[in-house]
Amino acid sequence: MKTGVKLTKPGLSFLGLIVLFYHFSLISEIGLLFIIIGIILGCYVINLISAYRTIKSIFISDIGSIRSVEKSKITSTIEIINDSNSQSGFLHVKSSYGILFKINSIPGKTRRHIAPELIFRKRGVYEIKTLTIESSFPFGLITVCTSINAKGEFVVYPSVYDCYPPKAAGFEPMFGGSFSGKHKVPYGNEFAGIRPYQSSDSVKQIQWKASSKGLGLMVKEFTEELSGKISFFIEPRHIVLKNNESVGDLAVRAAGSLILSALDAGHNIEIIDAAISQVINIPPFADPDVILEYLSRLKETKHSYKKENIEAVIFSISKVSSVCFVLSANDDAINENIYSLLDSGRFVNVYLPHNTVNYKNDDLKISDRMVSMLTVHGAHIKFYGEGSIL
Amino acid sequence: MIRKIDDPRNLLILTGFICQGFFNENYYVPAIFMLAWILCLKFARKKQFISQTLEFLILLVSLIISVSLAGPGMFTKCFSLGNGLVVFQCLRMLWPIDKRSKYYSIAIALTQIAVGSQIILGYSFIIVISAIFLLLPKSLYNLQAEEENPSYDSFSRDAYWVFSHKLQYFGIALVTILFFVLFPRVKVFSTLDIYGFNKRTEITRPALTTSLSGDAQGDEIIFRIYGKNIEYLSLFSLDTFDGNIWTASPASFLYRYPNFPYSNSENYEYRKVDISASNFNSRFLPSDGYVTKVRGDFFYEPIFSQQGNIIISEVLGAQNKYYEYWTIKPSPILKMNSKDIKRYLQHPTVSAELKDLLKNMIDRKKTQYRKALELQNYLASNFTYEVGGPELDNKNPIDDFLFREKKGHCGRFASALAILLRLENIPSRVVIGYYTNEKNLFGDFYNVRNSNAHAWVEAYFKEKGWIILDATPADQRAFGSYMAGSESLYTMVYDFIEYVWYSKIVNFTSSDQKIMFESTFNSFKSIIPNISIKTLFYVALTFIIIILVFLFRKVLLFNNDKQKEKKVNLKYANHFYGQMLKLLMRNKLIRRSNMTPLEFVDFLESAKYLGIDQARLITTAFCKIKYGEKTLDMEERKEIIASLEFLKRIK
Repeated sequence: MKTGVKLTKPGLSFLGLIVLFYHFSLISEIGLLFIIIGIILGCYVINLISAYRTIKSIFISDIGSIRSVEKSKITSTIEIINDSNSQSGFLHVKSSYGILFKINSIPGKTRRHIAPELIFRKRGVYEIKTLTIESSFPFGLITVCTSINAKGEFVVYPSVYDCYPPKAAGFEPMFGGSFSGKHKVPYGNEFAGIRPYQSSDSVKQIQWKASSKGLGLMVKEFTEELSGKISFFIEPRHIVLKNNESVGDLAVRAAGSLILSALDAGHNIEIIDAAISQVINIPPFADPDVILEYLSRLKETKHSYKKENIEAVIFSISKVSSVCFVLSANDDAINENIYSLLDSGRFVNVYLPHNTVNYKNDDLKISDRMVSMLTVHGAHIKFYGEGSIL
Repeated sequence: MIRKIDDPRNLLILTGFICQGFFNENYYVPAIFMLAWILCLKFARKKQFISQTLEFLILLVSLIISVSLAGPGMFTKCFSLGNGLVVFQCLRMLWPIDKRSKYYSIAIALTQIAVGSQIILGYSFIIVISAIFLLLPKSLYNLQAEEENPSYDSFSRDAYWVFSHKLQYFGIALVTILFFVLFPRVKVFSTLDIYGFNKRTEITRPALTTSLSGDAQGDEIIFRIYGKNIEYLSLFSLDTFDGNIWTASPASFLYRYPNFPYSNSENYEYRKVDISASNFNSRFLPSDGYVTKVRGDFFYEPIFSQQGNIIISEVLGAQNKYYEYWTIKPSPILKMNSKDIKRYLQHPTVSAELKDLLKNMIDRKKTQYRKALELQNYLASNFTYEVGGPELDNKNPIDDFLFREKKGHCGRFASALAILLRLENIPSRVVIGYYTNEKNLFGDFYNVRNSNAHAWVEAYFKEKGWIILDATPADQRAFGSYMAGSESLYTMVYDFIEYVWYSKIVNFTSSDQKIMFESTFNSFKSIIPNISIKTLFYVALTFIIIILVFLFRKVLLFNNDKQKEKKVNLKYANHFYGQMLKLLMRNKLIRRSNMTPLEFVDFLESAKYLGIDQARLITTAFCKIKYGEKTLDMEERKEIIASLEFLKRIK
């Protein structure tokens, strides 16, 4: 733990004033000026002692893993304990990413739960190893700071937005599924009607109330509930935009929005992670935090994936699902895989950066030729922008 | 308006205004500045209503005017700049300013107060010191709090920092005292250099006319002198007598420097003289013994006459006049050359009557010193002291005094004794100065009043050097209506306070620091004879640490007691509130974890619970202890017990 002391700007100015007064008092030899200097110096000494005591008496609980969303305020709190008997204040707790939070005043022997002030502009995982506690309590003339070891991380989710889910395929009956099938089933949520009893029907299906009307035994029928399957392939390439954002991040936001809306629609989701050659299965109505955490940890790639890797991982996905490619750059290896999927009769959605996305280098923009080639092969092309799918 | 007045920064600005106003040496300017302060607060707007250029121009013009209206001298001009800064401060009070400007305003106020510390030297400055002591920490705290929290309300509970942080204020006071007492006062250069005060003018030769009757002097204190065993304070010596008037011959003003033989002596006695009389403009500074060094800031290059008196150049019209000198007591025995001896023996032709008097009175076998004492005692016992009596014959005043009048002021006694000594071949001179015996009961200092003006004789003996002889009757040497020893305790205390304020606070010098350390050291040495200064330092340090730890512990213990009381209260609150919850659970009224106590009461009300009033009372008491940190009195406790009993009965 390192402790340091520094003068603030007002502290430096008032020190200059003290030197001036001291010099003046030596000339005039009137002791009254020494009293004025003494009071100002007293403020410095008390500032030093109080600030030092403040930083020594403040304890920060384990940060753990704090979740937040890009460009949004953090709602989780961190516990701060003032272990001393006296009031502490003017505390700045800083991390390597900026001021975590400020505390104006905290009475002795109290605990406070404070939401960090940090706003992360970009999704990702921000690890915290050390924190710096600063205090200039109570006069702001001297700042005493110390650095403490802290273990924790900020998991910043991509900011997702409302959008329509991509078209799914491979619908299968599933209790609670959002899509209605052609068939009627004996159990379900949506009542379809009644029909005469058949020998293959279970006795439990008989609706005795309707049967009592003299038309014979009647059974209930329900609408078949289906759930589709969508496999997502996300390619977050690090291509810098004019506003210093990355196309990869836009792609991740778009993918996150699409996945969440697909989950809401009751589809089964598969996420293809070409970086580690794995397919992650997510059942319908799963906890969105799992997906968002996965997306926030998803690293941007500098180069395109290898063709063999893509082939291997696409081979392991569901054979009936629709495939949704969220791409950030023109990649021949991916294109070839899309063509082969289309050729094998799979339904393929392709999401590409919109023309309105301002690249720093326009050469990296998705070419019209690529769009037309994909369209010709039968892919459904859509575009994503900064905060919407167009 | 009251909020603005109560702002410590504004009050600090007002203190600065008043201090700056007093620089103009009247009460009108501080009153005008105060009025301006009130008007600025009254007519303050929410937005700056003049441009920054205009603001700058106003400041510039006010600074130019204030400097041009100031008197001569760089110091005066510098101080006058403060008047221009008053305009600047006023402007800045008329609209909201940023944090940096607020710090500037505090710095300007402090500078104006610093100017005031050079002007307001009386006790009224205690009010100014108290104002800074209270207002400066709070102003700085408020500014920092505003920066940390823009919605900070200086009227909030948290803002009353002054009252809740007494220990911090104690710390500031301690640092102030330690800084004042311990911090070295190294003289860089003299005020006189800044004033450009270096001219030396001719000194008007002093004289004493024996024939004049003399006037009674007032009892105003001229100066206070710090030191031990002080009686005679000489101003100048007169060596030439023309029969009526004693004057100082040019040889008296031969300066001792640079061959003064005692400059390296360590047996000095320190004296500090604080001049109270505002009209003090003597070119001779009162001193006793044989002065070796003098230091002061209202005169330029002091010189020492051959007789050991301090002669200064023109007296500067400073408000605060004091000087220090180092003297050797008793005066060293200095050899005199024959020319000087001749000068101190010369006298006009005397009458046969006077010669006869000496012939009959003096025993020729006695030593010169015994003869001198005999002459002194003769005059002291046979003549009467009187001020304002008839004038003597100016042709032969000595004979007139000795044989006819036989009464007169101290000058006549001194004149007669000096002549009688010279007739007996003893070199002598008349000395003009002050005689004091008014030592304060509480401090080592003497008051010297106008009425203490005195004349006596110094006689030279080969084996003893210059010796003081005073022919004035001993009981009448301290003259006037004010009699030493007749002071009341109140006067003594008042004098002591005044002495401490002026000598030990306003004019606290490096010499005072040295004396303080030495006296502390000596008092320790008297207790433990073999103690070294290093050991003493460590002992003092340990002592200070013990005191600080003791004080700190005392505060801590006080806080601990408070904490303990709080814990006991909380335990009690949890106990009765828990009991209530248990009773309610019997009725299936369960408080969920997300409910606050008051929300739970509302829930009970909506459930139309019979004991709602009792439950509300218990909950309020619980909140009062837990969140309000209050203690319940006996009545409230009884009510809670009764309420719990009522709840028990509900089924």
